[in-house]
Amino acid sequence: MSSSIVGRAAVAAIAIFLGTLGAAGYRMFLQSPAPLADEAPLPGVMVHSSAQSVPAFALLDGRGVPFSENDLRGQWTIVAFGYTQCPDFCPTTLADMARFFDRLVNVGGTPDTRFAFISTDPFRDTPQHLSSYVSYFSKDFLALTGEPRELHRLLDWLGMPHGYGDPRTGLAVGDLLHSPATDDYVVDHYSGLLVIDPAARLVASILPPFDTERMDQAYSAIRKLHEVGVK
Amino acid sequence: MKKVFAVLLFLVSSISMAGDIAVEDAWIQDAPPAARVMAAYMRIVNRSDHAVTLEAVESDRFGAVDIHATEVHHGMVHMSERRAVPIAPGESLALEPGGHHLMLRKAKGSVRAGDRVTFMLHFGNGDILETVAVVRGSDAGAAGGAAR
Repeated sequence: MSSSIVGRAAVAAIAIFLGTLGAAGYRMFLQSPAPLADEAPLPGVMVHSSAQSVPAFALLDGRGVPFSENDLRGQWTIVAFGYTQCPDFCPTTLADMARFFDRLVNVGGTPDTRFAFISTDPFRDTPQHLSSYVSYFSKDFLALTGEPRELHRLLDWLGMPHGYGDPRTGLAVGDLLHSPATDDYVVDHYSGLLVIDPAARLVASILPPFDTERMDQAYSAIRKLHEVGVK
Repeated sequence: MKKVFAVLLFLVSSISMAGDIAVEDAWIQDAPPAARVMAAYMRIVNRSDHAVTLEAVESDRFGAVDIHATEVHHGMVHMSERRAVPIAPGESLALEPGGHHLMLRKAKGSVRAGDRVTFMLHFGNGDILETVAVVRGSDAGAAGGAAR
């Protein structure tokens, strides 16, 4: 399956894309709806020509223990962003990731990859609350939240706009630097996944959908390209 | 004969009808016990020859049910409330993961996989349609992203 024609074509298409995208492309990509458009076998997947090191950050894991960029080292990490008072998109992503990681385990035993869910709503998502939410989907998933200012720094570096809004009026009610006065708000956040290599470098992004078949194709294509790139 | 039809209709419990409006495949995505919100999905079919508008939804199991839409613009997820969602004659409105959905808040007690939750759908023409949604476990094959 992984060595299918589709798989190889996907790698080839991404490889072509690699050559044309500079280091500054990351932010551009995050805000672009379909970087590979329809002609690519894997639209919505991008691998960087020059991986960028994740900047220093200080978040908290589900136990409230500090988690920094150094804790990303030594294994692959797939990261999603969201919040627990998100009824539709976030639980769908988490359920998709639970299925994908089940498959990674079933196919290859203990995976060299883990999954982290970063809250974009630290005002309501305490480490304990986030952890009990995320662990429902898988006990192995990392739940990261922290000081709003720290999260803001990280999202800003990633070029991910975010904000809190009134679901009825659509008006902004705050952001990570301006605590909302109400408890009833919705959060805009990045829809895609980031792929971080064992050297704590951002190497790729995957936009939805995250069904297992597409994730399989996307992730194996990313890993193959990375192997080619580092050797 | 009418009696048989009534029994059949009762057996096909996943379909609810009021006049020319029908609801099919109503379900709720199971959520962690820590979740303060859940989502319900269904397909609302307008078999009449005039447009109808879904205006409000209630449930005795939730203190608040909001009609919401998830949209992705430029890679960002945005969710907002909808006050009135039109359904053209002969068309249907799909409430599905990543799109329109019912956001369920203020649950009265725990809502678990296998539970059946009744909703009252209010339409602009005054029709009220009652439908039952089953809570699907996260591992259910058809649940979540697989439903897309």
